[in-house]
Amino acid sequence: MRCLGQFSQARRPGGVTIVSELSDQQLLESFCAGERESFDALYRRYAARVHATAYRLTSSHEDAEDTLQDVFIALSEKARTIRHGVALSSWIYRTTVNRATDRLRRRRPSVSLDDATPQAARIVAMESLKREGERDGSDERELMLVQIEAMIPRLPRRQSAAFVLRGFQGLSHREIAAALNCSESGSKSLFSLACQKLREWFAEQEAQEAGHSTRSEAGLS
Amino acid sequence: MSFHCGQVQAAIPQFIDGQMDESSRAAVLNHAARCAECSAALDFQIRLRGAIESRPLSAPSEGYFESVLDRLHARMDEARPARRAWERWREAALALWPKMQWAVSVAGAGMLMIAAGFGAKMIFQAPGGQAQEARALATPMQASLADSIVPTALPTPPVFGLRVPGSPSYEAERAATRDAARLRKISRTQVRLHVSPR
Repeated sequence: MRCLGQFSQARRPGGVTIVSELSDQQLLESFCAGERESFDALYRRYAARVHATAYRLTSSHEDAEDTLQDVFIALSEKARTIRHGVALSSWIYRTTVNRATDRLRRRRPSVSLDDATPQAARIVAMESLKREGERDGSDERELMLVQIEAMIPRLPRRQSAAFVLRGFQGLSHREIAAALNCSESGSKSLFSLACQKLREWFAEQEAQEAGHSTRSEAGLS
Repeated sequence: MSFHCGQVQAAIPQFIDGQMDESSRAAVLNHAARCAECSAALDFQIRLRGAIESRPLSAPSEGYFESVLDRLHARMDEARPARRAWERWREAALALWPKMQWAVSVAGAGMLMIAAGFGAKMIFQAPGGQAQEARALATPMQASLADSIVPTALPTPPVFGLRVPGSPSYEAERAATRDAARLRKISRTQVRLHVSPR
C-alpha cells in the first residue's frame, strides 16, 4: 500500500495520474506493485541515454541494442532488489557500463586493451567516413570524433566509462562516481587519464603522419 | 594567482565548461602560454569538445525504441507464464483435494503397507543365504576344496533374529558371509586355472 500511497501523490485533482510526472522511485515502486505502464515510462525516460552510452562504449549498434534490452530486462527482474536511497539513474548507468563492456570483451576476446594503435583507429575512422559518404576526410572535427569513437573501446574499462559518461552524456562527476561506485575525485582522475591517453595516441599519430608526409615529399623531389 | 601543471590539467574541464571565475581562467591561460604540455592538453580538450558537439549521436530510426519495448514486453511475458503455470497447478490441486481425499488416503495407506513389508524383510532376513547359494552353485571339486579350508557345517542360521552387532546371530551371519566370499574366490581361482593355456 506504501507504493500506491506514493503513487497517488502524482494524481491530479481530476484523479488522472500522469505517469511521466512521477519520480524514478515512484515509478519503480508502482512497477513492483504490478503496473507495467510504470516500466514503460522508465524505459521511455532512459532508453535513449542507455542506447547512446552503450553505443559510445562499444561502437556497435548491435551491441548497443542488445545492451539496451539486457539493461531493461535486468531492471524488470531486479526491480524489487534495487536498494532504496540509490538513485535509479546510477543503477541504470552502472548496469549499462557493465553489460556493454561485457559484450565488448566477449566480442573481441583476443584483442588486448593495450593493443590500441592510433593508426588502426584512423583506418577505422577513414573507412567509416568513406562508408557514410558524407565527408571526404577534410572535416577535421568529424574525423577526430570518429577516431575517438574507434579508440574508446580500447581504453581501460572504467576510464572509457568515465570518458563517455562525462564527455558524451554530460554527467557530473558526482553522478559518474555513483554510477561507477567510486569517489568524485576518482571519477575526475579516470576522466583525466582517459583524456591523457587519447591525447597521447593522437600526438603519436600526428607525429607519424608528419614523418610519413616528409618522406613522401623527399621521395617526390 | 598562479597554477602548476597538475592544477591546470585538472581544471581544464571546468575551464571549457565556463565554470571558472575570471582570475582562475586568466591563471590557466597564463600557465598554458608558458607550458607546452599544458597548452597541448588544453588545445586537445577544446578540439575534443568541439568534435563531440559537432555531431550528436544520430537517433535510431523512428519507432526503434518502441519496437525494442515490444520485444521487452514479449520477453517479460515469456518469463511470467512459468510462475503462472505453477500457480494454476497449485490452485487446481487445492480445488480437487476434497474430492480426491479418500483416494489419496487409500493409496497412501497401501504404500505404507508395502514399505513396511520391505522393511520387515530386510530386518528379519535369514542370515547365511549367500553362503548357501554359493555352495549350491559350486562344483563338487570346489566344494571339497572349500570344505578343506572352511568348516563344512555352517552355523544354523536363526530363522528370525534382529541383526544386533555382537549378538550370536549377527556374528554367525558375518562368519557365513566371509565363508561365502572365500568360496567364491576359490571358484574363480579354479576357473582361471582350468581356462589358462598350458
